[in-house]
Amino acid sequence: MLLEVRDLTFRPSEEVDLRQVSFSVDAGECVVIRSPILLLGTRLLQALIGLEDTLAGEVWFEQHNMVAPLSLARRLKLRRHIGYVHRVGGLVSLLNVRENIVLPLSYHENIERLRLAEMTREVSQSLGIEHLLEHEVDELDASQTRLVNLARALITGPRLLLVDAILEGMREEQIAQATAVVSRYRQRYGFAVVMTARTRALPWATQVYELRDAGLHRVED
Amino acid sequence: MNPLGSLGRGVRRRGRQLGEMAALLGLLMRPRAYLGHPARRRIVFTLFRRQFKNTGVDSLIVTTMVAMLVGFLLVFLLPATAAREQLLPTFSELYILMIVREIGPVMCAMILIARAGTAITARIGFLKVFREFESMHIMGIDPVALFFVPIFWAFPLAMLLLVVYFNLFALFAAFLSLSPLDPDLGARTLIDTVLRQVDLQDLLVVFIKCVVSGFIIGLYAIYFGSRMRGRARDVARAMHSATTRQFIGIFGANVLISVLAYS
Repeated sequence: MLLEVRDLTFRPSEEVDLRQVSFSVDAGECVVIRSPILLLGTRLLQALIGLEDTLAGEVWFEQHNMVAPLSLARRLKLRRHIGYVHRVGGLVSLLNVRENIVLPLSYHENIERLRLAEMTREVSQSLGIEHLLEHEVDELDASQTRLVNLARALITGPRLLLVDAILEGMREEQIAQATAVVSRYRQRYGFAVVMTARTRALPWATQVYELRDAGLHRVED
Repeated sequence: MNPLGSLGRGVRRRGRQLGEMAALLGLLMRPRAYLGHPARRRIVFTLFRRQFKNTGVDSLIVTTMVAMLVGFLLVFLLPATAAREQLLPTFSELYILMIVREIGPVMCAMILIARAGTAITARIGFLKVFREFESMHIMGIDPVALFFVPIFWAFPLAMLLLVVYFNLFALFAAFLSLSPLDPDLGARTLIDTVLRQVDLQDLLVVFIKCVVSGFIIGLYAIYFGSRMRGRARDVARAMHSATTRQFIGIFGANVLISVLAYS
């Protein structure tokens, strides 16, 4: 089991009321969580990496409970094997697109500059964003920002990829391109995917859930 | 409203702030976290170069203008206090005492606050508003080690650069102003006379003032930017708080260092 969520309950607020959320993800699996309100999905994904103020429950990733009180250093270390693709923002405005893409790799691994450039070229060409590499982050539109986020997450070869509804509002060719690239990198690294979606999700989901009535319910498609 | 209670709360708040700033300073002074890793070192130096350019190099034009005005002013004040044959020695003495030792470091610190300190506080504030710290945490990246450290260390280095630059241009302006008063005055004579008046203690004091002022500006800029709650309206408040404390801090530090060194 790569990821196991047990009875996760959020501290109730005006925005979020989620109780007793449970699901599990094996290595290489793809789980889609449908959410009519995208913010709910975002908050759930953030809870999986310990960013939310949860009231109860456990999130086990590689034998560590991500929502337990951990030191910042320990928490940061655990997150290095998780790729997170933001629906909105998520890039660092102090850096340009190229620097954003290589940031996690440069920070956590010790990879030769040439190899980094090669990996960046490969992922950016696959996603059709190679012409944006020297751009500043604030020059990107919403879809381009999501694709740069995706490139940054894929290049690290994560064990778990959390994707926050990035296909919503994208053009058909961008969706096809992003889906194909995730598929190719998934075959290469064997990572599991947890994706939130309202209408557009990755086509090879092994489990589909829905967020409704303050809980997570399995959908048998 | 109990005035004693308000005073107590104010003292406690200031005490907490000082504690937080001491903790932040401790993190910023810890080199192992960011220099022990070759690739991480590369990012830090890239950001340091960028920050040094934004902080120091881009302040050179305004520094030139201020330095030349101060140089002109110093010479303008001279004829009333010095006989013609005493012009050069009096000028040199005043130049060292006022420009090099006292006004130069304070002026450069003020330029740095106006040009870069406020910008850094706002920049860090907006990183918080747009939740970019959060996205760094999601990637397992510690923003203190990676982003704050280069910003912090760029300030003292920029201060040193600006003070040297300020002194040179003030001297240049003084030379232009002195030339009509003493047509025989050469640039070499002026420089030699000034250099004879400088001693090692003066240079050491100026160096300490630059480093301390740079640290004060950098620390306050980062501290007030990073402790914002993440609302856009907090950015202006953070800039205001940082600037006020930076001014008080650099004036206090400069006076204290002068008093300790020359009393």
